[in-house]
Amino acid sequence: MARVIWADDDNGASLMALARILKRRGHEVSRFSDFVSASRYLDEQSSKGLELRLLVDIILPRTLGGGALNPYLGLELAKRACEIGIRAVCFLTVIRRGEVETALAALRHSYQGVPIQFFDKLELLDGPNLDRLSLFLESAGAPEAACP
Amino acid sequence: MSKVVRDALGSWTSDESVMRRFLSLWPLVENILEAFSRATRLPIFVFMNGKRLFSSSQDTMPPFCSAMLSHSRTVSLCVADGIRRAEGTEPEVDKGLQLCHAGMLNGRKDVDLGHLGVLTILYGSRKATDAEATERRAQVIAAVSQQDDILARELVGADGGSQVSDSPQIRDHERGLMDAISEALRHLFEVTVGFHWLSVNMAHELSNMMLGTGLMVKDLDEELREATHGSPPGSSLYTVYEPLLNESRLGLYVVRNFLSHVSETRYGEVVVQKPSPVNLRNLLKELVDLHRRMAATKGIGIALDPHLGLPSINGIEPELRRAIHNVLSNAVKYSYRSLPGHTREVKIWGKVPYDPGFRRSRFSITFQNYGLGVGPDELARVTVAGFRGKQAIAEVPIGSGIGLSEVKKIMQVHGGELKFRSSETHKDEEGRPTYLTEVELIFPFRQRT
Repeated sequence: MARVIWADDDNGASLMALARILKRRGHEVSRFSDFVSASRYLDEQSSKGLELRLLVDIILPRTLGGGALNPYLGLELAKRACEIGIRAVCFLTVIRRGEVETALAALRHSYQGVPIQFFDKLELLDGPNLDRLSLFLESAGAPEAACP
Repeated sequence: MSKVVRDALGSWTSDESVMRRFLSLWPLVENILEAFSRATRLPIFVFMNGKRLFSSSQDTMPPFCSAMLSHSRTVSLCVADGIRRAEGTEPEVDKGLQLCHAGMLNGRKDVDLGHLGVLTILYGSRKATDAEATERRAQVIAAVSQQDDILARELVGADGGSQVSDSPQIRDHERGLMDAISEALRHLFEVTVGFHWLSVNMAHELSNMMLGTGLMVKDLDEELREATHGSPPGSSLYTVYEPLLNESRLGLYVVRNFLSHVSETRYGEVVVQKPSPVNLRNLLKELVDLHRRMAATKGIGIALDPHLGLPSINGIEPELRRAIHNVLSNAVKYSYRSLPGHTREVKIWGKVPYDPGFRRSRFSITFQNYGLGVGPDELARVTVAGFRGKQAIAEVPIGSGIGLSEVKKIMQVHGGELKFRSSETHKDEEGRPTYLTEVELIFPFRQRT
């Protein structure tokens, strides 16, 4: 079982079922729909020393209904999460991997102890990808887990 | 210039493909504006999101502007003034006309590019002669003279020189021409960059809905299976929701093809995705299962060689999955017109090695179907993005024509190739031809010695 922070403005509507599926697989999922609320929760939780995993969309609004989306704000949230000691980061997004590859590489380089994985939303229903996502959240960052 | 344009667009979009499309159009826009400027002898400055993107060549400038723009000290004043006016912080706009900080009369035209921002075109710079304009030029000259006496004398000479414009006004036909050019530019951006942006966002929205539907079906199925201890739920509800997962997955493949087709980086040199071991046989089985229901609704079977044995390869699994999907999707979609009573079947088999004695070991997977085909005159174009055969267009109106072009790219990334054959075998009762079509995916592999 993993404690998962899921930041995605679609997680309360069209993608809500994913939270239920992850819970059925034993994860505890806290959903946040914007950067500010997810950051605040991360800050609160970091002082408690809990083992958290971040599941995050790269396109993330700063505040819900608070104006234009800042492109790729999910990357900024991941960086903040790494800074406060998150155990693993899992991107789940429709952004083409090629468009953020450089940013992902920089993040991995800066936080080498944090497993970081990229999942394409468009491929999530294919093959074993949903199970892979769940397994990554469960095992990544655990002492025995290797960095993917 | 591309850096300036990127900076101007950067606060509005970070989508690289949108950026590239804008940049590919920009030289054309510059040529149009320069041509206008030379034809009318009206200089042009273009601003966007706080950046100056364009100024016409110096020889279109009236003497006063030319003098101002030829010295770093004063050109910065002009640029800053232009930005202020473009941003509307000095909104002295009267019927599309403005006085600049140095008392020159400018036409002004805002071209709203929607999500990209507003392109502000300041054109004209004719020497206004009313009291306010004269006073502004005098103030500029006075300010400059305190720091640079030579430049100040140059400005005085330019202001009073004989090479003045033949009109102190921007005339109606000049403004009409700029209105027409602005409208043409707006349409140009709308149907290219704007439509691209809209399409990509629409694709993202649709994919979210399809993924959501698929996840809901999975969620519901898991919950019902919990009640039946893992068996498929026997309720009629199962027959309703079960096909939705496949439909969602099939829809997501369409979106992925589209996004991959419009992506600038997916197959470029920028990103090389890391290959990993892929079991192609498992992928084939997965995709045959995915398409079997759709095929069955058309009375078509899919026969995957039960003895199929394929070497393992290193590859990009999601992309190989997409390639197989595209080929299989076409085979099912275009299986038509077999004679009555004939079994209609898409056949899939492998050949290992594909061509013994070839300089490197290769194997193939072949997909064969009877139905609509491609004429001999069309064969060479089947992997051109957007191409659809005449029969396909006539019989199956909906289709993007990018499936096989994507397969070709994916095969090239894997060091393989795509071969396509289609030939007429017979005519149906109404005289329409039936084709036997074969698609071969040929992969290199390392033979164990």
